[in-house]
Amino acid sequence: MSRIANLWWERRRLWLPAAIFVAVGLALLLGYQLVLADRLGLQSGALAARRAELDDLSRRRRAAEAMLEQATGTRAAVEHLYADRLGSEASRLTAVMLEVKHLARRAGLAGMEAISYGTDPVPGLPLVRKSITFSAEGTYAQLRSFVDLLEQTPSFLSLDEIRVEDEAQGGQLRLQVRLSTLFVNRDESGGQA
Amino acid sequence: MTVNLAGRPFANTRPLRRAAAALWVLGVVLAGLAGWLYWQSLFGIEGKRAQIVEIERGIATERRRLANAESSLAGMDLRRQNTEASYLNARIGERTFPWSGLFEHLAQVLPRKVRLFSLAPQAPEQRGAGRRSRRPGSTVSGGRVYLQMTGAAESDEALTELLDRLFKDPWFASPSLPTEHRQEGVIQFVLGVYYLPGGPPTALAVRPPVAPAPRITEVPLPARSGGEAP
Repeated sequence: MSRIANLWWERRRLWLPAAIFVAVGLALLLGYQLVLADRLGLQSGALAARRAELDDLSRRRRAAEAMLEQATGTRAAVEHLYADRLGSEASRLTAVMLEVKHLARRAGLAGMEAISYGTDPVPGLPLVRKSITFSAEGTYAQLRSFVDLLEQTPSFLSLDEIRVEDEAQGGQLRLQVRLSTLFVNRDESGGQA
Repeated sequence: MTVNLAGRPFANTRPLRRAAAALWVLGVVLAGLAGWLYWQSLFGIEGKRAQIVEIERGIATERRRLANAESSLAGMDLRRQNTEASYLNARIGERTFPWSGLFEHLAQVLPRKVRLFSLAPQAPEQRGAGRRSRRPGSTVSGGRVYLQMTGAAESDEALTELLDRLFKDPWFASPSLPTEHRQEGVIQFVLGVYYLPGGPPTALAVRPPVAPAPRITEVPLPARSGGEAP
């Protein structure tokens, strides 16, 4: 044995406890790496997977709830339109007929004797489209006034067509006017309205 | 004469002491690191377990709420509701079609020697099929309405003047004259033109009617229910 090795062996009480202490530390780290690190890693993976699942479910739930809210709002808007603006034929038809005549008179249109009504159920919906066609005589200014009054009325009346049939003397026009409106008819729908 | 009184022969132990000190320091560092890691893992495992339990509780809650929302949606028949909303919006569009504005703008471009007999807004698909539309509101597409009008002009010049004015007027676009024929001294014509109810970008829009019904929002159907919204 060489002199230096001999010296280290003779003075082993100086360094051997420290070396054993280092070896114990290394062993502890190795044990941690072999046993606990794997368990922690597995748990972290499981946690990340659960978190991803939760995020995905939350996103789908938010989208579904937003859609539900939108659909509920749409349903409410439709019901509001049916109840407050359209109404049933029984509750609104006579008022609409009177209003059309009243507006034509207010605008100064004359010769409104014949009025024809057409009924056109809307397939698949609880609605009936009622058309009101009449001929009248008046000037261009009176026609404009009638259109203006029609636009201002709160009734759900639409102007579908204006046709000049003939031009009489003195700037008078022979007109054919086609209006339409909608009524709610829940009996015909066979479904929710 | 030199006398050596030492009990043992002299040996330099300084490197040995330094190595021992370094080993102690290294041992302390390794032991500290190992202790810290074990401490962390002890609480880390417990903490993660608690987190997983909490997240699983959250997953169960989300699943329940999602099932409730989807069941409510399934009971609403969105496809039918969208058809209903789409139809009603088209009728509301008819209600809000600015006929007065159209008359005003037509009056500005119509020469004295030209008279109009009929005016019919048309939907693009109906134009393609060659059918006339009497549904003005449903014809508004991209802020433009295609109008087909019939009329009579006293002369060729009057008819070309009408076309020129339509080309120049910012409320109208792309006028076309599909047919014209002379009959009893006047030129009968059919004319098509796009009307812009919202006006050109710099102009004020046509005043809407006072009491239009509010538009109804359609709900986009979920992809899994079998197709796009109607």
